Amino acid sequence: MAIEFISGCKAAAEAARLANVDVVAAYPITPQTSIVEYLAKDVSNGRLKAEMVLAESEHSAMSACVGASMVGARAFTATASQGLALMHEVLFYAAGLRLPIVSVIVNRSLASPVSIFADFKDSLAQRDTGWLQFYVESCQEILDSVLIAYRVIEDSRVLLPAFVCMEGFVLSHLSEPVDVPDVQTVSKFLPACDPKYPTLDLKDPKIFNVMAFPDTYEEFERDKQISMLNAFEALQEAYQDFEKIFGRKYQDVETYRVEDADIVLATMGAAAGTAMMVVDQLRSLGERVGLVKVRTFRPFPRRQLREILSHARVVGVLDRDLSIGSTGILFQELQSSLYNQPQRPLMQNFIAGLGGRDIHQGTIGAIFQSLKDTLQKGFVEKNLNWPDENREVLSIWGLPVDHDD
Amino acid sequence: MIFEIRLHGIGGQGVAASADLLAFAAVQGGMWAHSFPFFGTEIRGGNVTAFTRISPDPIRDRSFIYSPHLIVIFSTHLLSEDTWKGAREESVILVNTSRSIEELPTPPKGRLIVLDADRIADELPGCRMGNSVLLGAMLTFIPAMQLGSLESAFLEKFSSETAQGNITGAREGYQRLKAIEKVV
Repeated sequence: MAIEFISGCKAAAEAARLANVDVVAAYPITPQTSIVEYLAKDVSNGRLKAEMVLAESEHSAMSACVGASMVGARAFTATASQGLALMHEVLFYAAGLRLPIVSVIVNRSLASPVSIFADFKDSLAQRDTGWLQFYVESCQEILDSVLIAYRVIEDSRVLLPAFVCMEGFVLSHLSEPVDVPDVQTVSKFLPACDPKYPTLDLKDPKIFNVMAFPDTYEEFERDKQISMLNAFEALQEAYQDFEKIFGRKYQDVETYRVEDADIVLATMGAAAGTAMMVVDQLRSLGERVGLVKVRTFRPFPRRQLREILSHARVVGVLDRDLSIGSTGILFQELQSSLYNQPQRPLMQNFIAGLGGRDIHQGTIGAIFQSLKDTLQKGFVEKNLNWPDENREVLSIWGLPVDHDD
Repeated sequence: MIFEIRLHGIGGQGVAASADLLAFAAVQGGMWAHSFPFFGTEIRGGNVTAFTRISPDPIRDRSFIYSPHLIVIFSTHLLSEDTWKGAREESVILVNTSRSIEELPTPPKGRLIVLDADRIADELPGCRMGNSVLLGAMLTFIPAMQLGSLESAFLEKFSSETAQGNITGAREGYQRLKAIEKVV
């Protein structure tokens, strides 16, 4: 093991190399491109023995990953934004064919208007495709999550593809110290690819991608649902082994000072780190606040969140995304998870950081203030809030400042 | 304490690279650090901002730097309210310029320091860019940062010839500022 000073993109590429992937198929797109550039270099200098497929589009890149995975190869790709949107159709095939492909998503907003900066719209728009989804907070977590993802999705109880998502620029272009393990240590955690599913084989022909009639299609979906939920068990085992081998601890839901908290903020990704600093400041002032970081978004850890939030009186959800016409996406999931609880907290949604707007301590401080007001009032005045709104732009465009869901 | 540095320059001056090298040097010196850039489309000549945080402990903050201890401005024309924004009374604003302090606009807060890093680099053998001179100069304001850490960062990242040119520049920038500042 060695501590290296590397970016999020480099951490992702190092993870793919350490996972000893057989096929990398990709198409360049900001802010993901350097991941594949690093891997292309590794392949060309022999550091990684893999087939590098430079596809003519993301649709083709994902199709190549599907083909590779069908012959039993460990396949990897990385994309973002419009690229992921173009892959959309093939994502369903990968999940339906039960292929354990990992794609790193460097989260970026979608056009129009064009933005190269971070929000979660691209990967969250793929939430119903049957892919596992993990959201990370640091460069170390990127590397570790790719290894954990392969281990879990290649498990015969799961056999589904997975996204490991990091925010573009916020993490992809941030450099920090990362513990990069050696290949031997990684192989203890993630053995060589040994497909436990039917593969394309000329000596043993099979039919794939069959037509399902109404009498079976629903059960195919249910089978995927059960496998996806099985991932929780596989993840717990993987986290335990990971901690034993590498000394770093992961959970589907990570908590920070929530034990006696009246007010809890839930979020995903890099903002969790910034929010922890605000939690510390508020705690030092005697405020009973805590933070929940949802790392695993698919499968959605409903049961764990119910337990963690069982004593909270007010729960805020910071969404770096918006389902236009409804609310933030994490908010929908979390609110529905808690609905049948005998004692459920008041809940408020905060949309912030869209299109790369910086989520800083001031934004998070304003969110906690709003949650504190709600706790004092005892009811939610406004479900949908925009704590980092640019009032100058709203006023120039003549948009109402005061509106709710 | 987290020491925060914000760099302003234009694409091609090595602004993002400088932020990375500074953070890498801090890590070489046994500290925790991170660095990241902010820019529009990646074009030469476009505005670039880059950030570096240095701390004895791991850093979890992922936001931009709004109130830096040190602001470094790589081109005279970038010195404006857009770049000195957030400076505190005790902040240092280091400008790469051939002009004197009297010829420059005065930021409302922070101490303005000028260094003609591009010219210094031109006159030094093997030193191709002013950013290494600026990096050396920056070190004089950052607590617990040694010139040796920056030198080993250069040696780690570049070929020995390129590293040597950068080291020459960094030493010169460091000495010049030490002479003015008599700090650390």
